[in-house]
Amino acid sequence: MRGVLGGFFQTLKSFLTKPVTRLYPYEKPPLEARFMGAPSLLWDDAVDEVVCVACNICARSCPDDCITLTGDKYTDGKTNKKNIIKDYFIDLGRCSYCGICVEVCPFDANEMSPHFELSTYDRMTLVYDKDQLIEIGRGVTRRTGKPEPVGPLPGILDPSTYR
Amino acid sequence: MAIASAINMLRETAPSVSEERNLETVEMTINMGPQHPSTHGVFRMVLTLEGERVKNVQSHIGYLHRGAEKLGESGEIEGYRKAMITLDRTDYLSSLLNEHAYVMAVEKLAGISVPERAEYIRIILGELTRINSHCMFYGAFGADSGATTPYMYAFALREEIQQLFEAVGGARMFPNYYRAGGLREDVPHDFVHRVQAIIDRAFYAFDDFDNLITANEIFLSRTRGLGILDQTRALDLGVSGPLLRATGLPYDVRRSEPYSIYDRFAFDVPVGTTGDCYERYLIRQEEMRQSIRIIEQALKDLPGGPIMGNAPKALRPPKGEAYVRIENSRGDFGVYLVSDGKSSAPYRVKYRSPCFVNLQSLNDMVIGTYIADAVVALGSIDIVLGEVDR
Repeated sequence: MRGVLGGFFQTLKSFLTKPVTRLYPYEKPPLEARFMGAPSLLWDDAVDEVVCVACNICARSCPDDCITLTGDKYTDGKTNKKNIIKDYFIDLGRCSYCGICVEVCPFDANEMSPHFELSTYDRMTLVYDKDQLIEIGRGVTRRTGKPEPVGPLPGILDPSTYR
Repeated sequence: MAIASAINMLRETAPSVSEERNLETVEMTINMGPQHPSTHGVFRMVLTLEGERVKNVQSHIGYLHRGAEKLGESGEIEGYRKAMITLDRTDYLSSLLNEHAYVMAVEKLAGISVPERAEYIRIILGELTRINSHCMFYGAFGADSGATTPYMYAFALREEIQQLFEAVGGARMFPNYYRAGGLREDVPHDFVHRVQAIIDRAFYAFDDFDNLITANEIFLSRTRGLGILDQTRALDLGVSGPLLRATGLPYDVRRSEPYSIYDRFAFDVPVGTTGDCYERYLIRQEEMRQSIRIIEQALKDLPGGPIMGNAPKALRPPKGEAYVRIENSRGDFGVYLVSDGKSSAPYRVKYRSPCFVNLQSLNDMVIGTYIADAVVALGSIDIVLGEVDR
């Protein structure tokens, strides 16, 4: 009997404390600075074009084979790259968010974005094309392979930056 | 007192075992699972019942088979890194512990040394994973034995640990954080404070866990004396982890065959006496406290320095094989790797999963009990079907 009452007292104690529950869709939880959401393509603001040179290393290193890309000859001459991506698809329905594509990228052209809300009625919408990947990568800076900034951490990302 | 007398009255009016034997019953075969919430995934039991007693049980596994081992061998480039992704997803509750075993096997194969700091961080995160996994057991076992509230308490603590994993490795369940030779990146600056905060919180949480069901009479009557597995039988079956320790054998790979730097820490290996479901529960509760002890010691000694050893960028280990075993949250987890010396993916990957072996003891536990107790006995094994089927 004592044990049962102990459980009741525990319940009563919890009833009087502040709940830890968050009403998720209405109240967004904080995301950590290292949070790995969907992979995104980075945009080079200096020359106003995508950083990627279509070397295909990310696609070959992907454990889920979810990246497909095709390259094109680069003729603009703004940078000294030989190729530029023509099409770039990531099937986020297959992606396992492991971050290997970002780790192996020799040109720092991609980064895991904080984008993770993928609920949809049609799974084909999970195949993100080049423009969508650039869109979710806006405002994301490359941090993989770079030393951690000295001083206080950039901290928890503001939930309003989710896309 | 009213409840106690009501329980007593129910006991008196219920038919005793001898009366039950006298009733004419027909054997019945029922199918439990694969889509049954108390089978912890997609496990199927075909139960032969006599009345409400289990006469025979036939287990069917393989519904969650994803070919994790074969996928681990199939990487064209970066194969050693890819294999860990699928390993993470086999035992999704102790992913970082399994990563530890895997990277240790690769390090043994390729002769890579690991810096001190990385070893300490691996220990801290590994023990947090163990707490995380035992929390899940606590919640699920409560639900199996008829109490749904423990889930809420268990997940409040799990949430904090997973938040730390997100801060450290970027993902809550599959951080993919360890690398052969060290870690992917150093921990955040506030790592020590955050782990300390979790330790402080965990002590209260464990007390809450205890207050809630450990001494609860209903829980005791559901679990005590149920699913007894004696020591000789357990050893015959090759059972490991809390199941084996509940039979009274203090066998823990961390202690009996220390890997990594576990020989530097003081911790107790809790053992039981009878080997019933309740003792398995108590042992896991105690193990969580012991994990906290290890984390406290590791945090105190956490050295500075590099987090990556002499690992080459493109891993291509020489021809050979390596077997590494660790104490997973469920038992003795082993990784066997064979390298052919040419390719950048392992030639053969084999995981020795404790869940699969521990599940063999189900027949010994369940036969002769009530069907409702079969669910509790299955819950006390703490299986993860992803690891059973791989």
